[in-house]
Amino acid sequence: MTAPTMLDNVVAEEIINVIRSKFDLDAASKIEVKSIEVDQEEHKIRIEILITTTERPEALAKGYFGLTGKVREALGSDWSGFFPVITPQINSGMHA
Amino acid sequence: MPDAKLADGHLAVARRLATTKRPTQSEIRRSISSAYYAVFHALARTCANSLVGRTPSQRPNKAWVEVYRGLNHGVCRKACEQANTVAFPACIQEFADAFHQLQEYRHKADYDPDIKFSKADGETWYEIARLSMSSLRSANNVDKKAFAAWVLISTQGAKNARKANNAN
Repeated sequence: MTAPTMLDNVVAEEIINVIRSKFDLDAASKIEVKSIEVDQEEHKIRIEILITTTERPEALAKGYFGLTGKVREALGSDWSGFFPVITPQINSGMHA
Repeated sequence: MPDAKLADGHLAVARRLATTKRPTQSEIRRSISSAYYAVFHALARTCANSLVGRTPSQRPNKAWVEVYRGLNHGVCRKACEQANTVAFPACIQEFADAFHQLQEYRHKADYDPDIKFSKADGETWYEIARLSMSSLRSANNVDKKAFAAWVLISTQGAKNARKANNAN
């Protein structure tokens, strides 16, 4: 069986839900998934997220640690050979 | 005597650079890089302690250094990428995943001039490295030995043995 070349909307939506749930940030915070790209050459799924929050780095790190496994589960067996590279960009601009 | 505290030293540097009042881009980038190297050295030390011995007076110290320095960034990343295919406990699996993510991010911090990092990025990756090291250290000795073999040995023979183990 050949690997699919792009994520379907259901899987992408599931990944977004998993990310939001794992971080579990307060209502004033915002998590946006900027992009999800499949890198066929490297066998990676590159997920870029933008987090706008006043939460402490300790809380953000706790949310991130263990997230890879949850995203891997959400990707399911079709993507079992692909590693999800999750890159957060943290905007703490709400401090002002 | 080898310096066995490099991991904690790199982690302290990562913290210092990230928590400076107004860190420059170079300081944040060096902080992220140090966070990765903290985790790398923590793993190298775990490998050497697990496979050769923890107590300097009761181990061959040259062999300890050889194992410590035997850890290769690329081979280790690949091994961490595939750690979920075997039954490592959560503390090691989560370490392996974080190691891979830290290495990816370290490459961006070291080489990609297009990215602008925030102070919060540096502080958060320092915390991720700290959690990763703590997670690895919480593993029991048997699992540390198994993981050390997993990240250090990538010969065809080892791969064949792993295939056979998975089949049983």
